[in-house]
Amino acid sequence: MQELMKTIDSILENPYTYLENLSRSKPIMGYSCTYAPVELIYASGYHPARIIGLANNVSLSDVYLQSYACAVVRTLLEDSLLKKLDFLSAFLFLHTCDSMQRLSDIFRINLNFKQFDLILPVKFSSQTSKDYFLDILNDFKSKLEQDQNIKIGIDSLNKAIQTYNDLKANLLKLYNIKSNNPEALSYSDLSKIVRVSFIMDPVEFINISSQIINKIPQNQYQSSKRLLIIGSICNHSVLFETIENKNAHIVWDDLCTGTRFFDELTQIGDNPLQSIADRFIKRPICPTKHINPQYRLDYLKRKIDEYKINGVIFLFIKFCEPHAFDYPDQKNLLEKIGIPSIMVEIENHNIFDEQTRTRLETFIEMLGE
Amino acid sequence: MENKIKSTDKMKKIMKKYYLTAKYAKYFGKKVAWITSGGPVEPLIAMGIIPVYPENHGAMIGASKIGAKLSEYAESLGYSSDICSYVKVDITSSITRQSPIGGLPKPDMLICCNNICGTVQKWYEIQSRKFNVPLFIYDTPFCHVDLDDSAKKYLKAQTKEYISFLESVTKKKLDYDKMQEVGKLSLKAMQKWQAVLDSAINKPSPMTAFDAFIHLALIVTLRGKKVVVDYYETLLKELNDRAKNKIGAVENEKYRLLWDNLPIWYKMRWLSNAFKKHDGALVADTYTQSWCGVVDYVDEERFLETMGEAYARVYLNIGTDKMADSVLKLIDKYSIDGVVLHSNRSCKPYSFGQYDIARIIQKKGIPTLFIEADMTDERKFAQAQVENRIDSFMEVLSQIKG
Repeated sequence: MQELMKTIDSILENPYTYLENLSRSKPIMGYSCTYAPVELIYASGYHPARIIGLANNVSLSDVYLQSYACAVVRTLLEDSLLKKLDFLSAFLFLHTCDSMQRLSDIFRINLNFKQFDLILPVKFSSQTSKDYFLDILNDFKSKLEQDQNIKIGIDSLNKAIQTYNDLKANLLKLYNIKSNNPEALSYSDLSKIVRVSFIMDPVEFINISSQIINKIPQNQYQSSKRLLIIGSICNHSVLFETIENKNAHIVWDDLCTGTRFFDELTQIGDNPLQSIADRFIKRPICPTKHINPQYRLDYLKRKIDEYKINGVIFLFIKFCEPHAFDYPDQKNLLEKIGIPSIMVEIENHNIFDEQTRTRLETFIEMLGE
Repeated sequence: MENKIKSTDKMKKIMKKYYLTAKYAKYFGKKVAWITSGGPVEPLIAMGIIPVYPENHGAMIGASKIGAKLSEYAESLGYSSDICSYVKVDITSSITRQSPIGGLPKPDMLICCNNICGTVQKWYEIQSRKFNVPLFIYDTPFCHVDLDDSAKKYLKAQTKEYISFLESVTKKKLDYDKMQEVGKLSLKAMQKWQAVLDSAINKPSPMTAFDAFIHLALIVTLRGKKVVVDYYETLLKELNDRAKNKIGAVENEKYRLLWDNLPIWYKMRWLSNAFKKHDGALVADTYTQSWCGVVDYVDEERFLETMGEAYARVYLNIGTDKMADSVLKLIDKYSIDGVVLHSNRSCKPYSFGQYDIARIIQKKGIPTLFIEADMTDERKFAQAQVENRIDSFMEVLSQIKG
């Protein structure tokens, strides 16, 4: 298990080196969020790689973006300006938040990436938006076919869906192990496994994650402090260790570096594009999307019941508006049902300060035994 | 704002009547819809539903200089200091009824069009939960380079969906003849509004962007009603008379400036004076142009069919480079000497990309000035710093232009 985690750590320490090596055998398409139809990208011959910026210090991007842009867009831009992403053959922007929308423009105007934009619908609730979703996937498929000079057939698309279903199923298995037996593996490791799945060749990832699943010791320990984490992106292994060192366990999350990426599998069938669109509508939506005004609250309540949650930690990237808008009503709901919560704002997703550590430790202590 | 425009009083009366009607809608047997400022209001007008604009209300709160106080209250409820101040003042006002008009009337439905930002979706979800009323989202795909066929098809389909929604809430059928009439009036209002803004082509300009920010109220709130067309005709006549008689909004107009982004509502007079003391007149802006910029995409004979595409092509729903093209056109049209960009902490889609727009403008030899602020929240405005920046900018401009 330790050896396998070492392999994962080494990739995550420098994901760009891994991708650069991979780019020698196949073109790589970077993408910005979990709404990327990875199966379609993979079937077109590209390796889809979710890029989460690494830069600790942001300076070059100040020429293009104000200081009140979130760390996600700023570091992604910084890495691009530093030419650290030159191994990419293309970049796909997904229409989610206002900041990402403008980042796409900044890339198009100032950088030399082959760029695709997938303008997703905002609402997933009506037949018109479902039809539109299918139309844009069809358009994207045509663009990929033209770009790669191939035809993407039903079989190859279903094969790609099967590969990513296997990848997602392994992640789900790991989360279920963690939830049923919180000490079996740390959330810090679990989070790393999810993040490495964004980067690695999917077949290679399925292989390594299957080995991990087989090697996880099956203890019989139940934690009384079962936590849920909500937010967008979180790379803070140290933060997770701080929480779990205090005898509390993160047994589920609502993160786009977590369950929102892999929850729900895609049906295999005669209309794989329809299946991909259906899966996006069925999976837990992020706050930039809309099914009904109550959706995110109902989802939170459901997860608290399902996973017997004792406390919730909101982990927000500074300036991330979509989550910030949902927060007060989510907090009120938790108060109403007697679940303690804490909100932690992270200035830069690579910085975790002492004050935050103290607040988290105090919160966990307050949860009692 | 000196050389006061006389028509303003008439507009104030129209707006007062409008708000009174909205506040007492129930007594008139009418339903109230809250709608985003860039939303397709015409079907509401055609169905006799009173549209109410929380953003216009936010602007009133900002101009009354209580934006910071109301934002602070929302922050005490857990809303981040980094989110849009219009949302925060609206949330506070809908709880405490604090505002120059004692809060907005309770909505019967919410209509959210995301052609201005993604913020409105979250804002209207919050208010839909609070008031427990139905929400319709008119989803306008973002247009980085152009709108593709799928997006156009989606927009047309949503117009039908929108009408079905209104018919279901009101339990009445849309009168398509009435709709056609409203569509024509809306288009006419946009054309008149464009003519009002174009009066600023004259030298000296008979109006400034600060005047435009005030007179914008009608095209936003009552578009599709005859009163808007009539009012802008009156206003246009007054402005044309002023132009004919060389009455400038700014005495000794020497430098003609363009404003980008929303106004800083609580500092309008101060800003006007800060530029005026250097003989600078803000004669045009990108914000008020948004309510007439897409007029060419609307076909008055096929209003419902073309409405969606036009709404999706508004200034804030297009790529940064397209926005820069629009600014360059305004620079030529209004003989602009310099551009003032309000980097607005409350409006990310308007503000991100401004650095690129500034570079594109500068390449044409037009100097630019950035002002960091917020449209409603006075806490984000450093007056001494802004004053210094304006003074330096105007000095540079005087060196360039003489």
